[in-house]
Amino acid sequence: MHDPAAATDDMLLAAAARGDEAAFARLLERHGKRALAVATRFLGSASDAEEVVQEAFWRVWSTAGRWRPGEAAFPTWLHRVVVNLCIDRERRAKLRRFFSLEAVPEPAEEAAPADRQVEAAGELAQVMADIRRLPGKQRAALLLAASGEHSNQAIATMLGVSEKAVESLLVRARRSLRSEARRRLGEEQ
Amino acid sequence: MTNGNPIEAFQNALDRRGPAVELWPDGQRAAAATLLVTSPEARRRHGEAERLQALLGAVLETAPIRPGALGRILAGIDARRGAGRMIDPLRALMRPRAAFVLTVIAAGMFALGALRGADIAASLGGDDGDSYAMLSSSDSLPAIFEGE
Repeated sequence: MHDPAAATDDMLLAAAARGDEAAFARLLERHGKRALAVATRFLGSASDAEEVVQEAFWRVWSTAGRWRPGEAAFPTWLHRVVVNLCIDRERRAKLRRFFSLEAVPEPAEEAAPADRQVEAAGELAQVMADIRRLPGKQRAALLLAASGEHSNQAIATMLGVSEKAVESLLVRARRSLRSEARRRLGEEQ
Repeated sequence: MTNGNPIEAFQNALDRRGPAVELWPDGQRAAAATLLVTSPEARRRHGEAERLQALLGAVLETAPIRPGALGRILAGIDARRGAGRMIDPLRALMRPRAAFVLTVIAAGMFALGALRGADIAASLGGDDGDSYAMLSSSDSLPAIFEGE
């Protein structure tokens, strides 16, 4: 591939299937940060998110030859894998905590120094805490909708549910956040 | 947004589809536009939804991605590619399904050996000289019986 920067995702996947490492690296560069952001906010841990995204991109590399151009958008497929890995990882962690009968704390957010200043702003940190308390699928739907890049139909494909189910998840998630915000406002007044 | 309280229906649509009213389906978009012009409460709720959406966007934008994360991911995949070529056959053997099949085969072989041992024991218990003959001529006994 002469110019990976100008290539479409489908072209990069086809090249990766032929063993083109530069094309694969370009895909990672193009979509990796967003996938990391979603996984980090879902799991509350940057290091766990890296493992999840590495696994997702390992699957991209391993199965690139089976990719069918035009059948789905690559980011939709990638986010579906990332979200499913996040949900599985969290489920396993909960099971481990349950069977170990220990009160293991939730993973702490590993904030970079620059982010701490932003997050200390208060409202953002509170919203993030509220998001962490949402059930997994609600959290996933909300984070995927957060960027405004994906339609509810695309989010439905990512989560493997119907569009109506996504709307229902988003309604419950947004109501929870609004209710928490109002509760805090009431406490302050 | 025609049934019941229009403000509550508007809020429900905001929760379902987010505050980007211009992306809503045609019928809802027109009703929402009218409501936003005529109702201060609708504007307040729309403002609240926009603020939440902005916060959610910021949640993603400020996600603490560690420096060099993409490089580490690429290096990890590269290592797995190298390791995968060497350990794939071993890993295949260790898969649960394969392990189950191997266990069944091992159990079957053990049971077969035990049955043959029982046959031999039965033969030894009889007076039939042919049984001795069979024992002495049996070259296919499991190694565990050899030397006994």
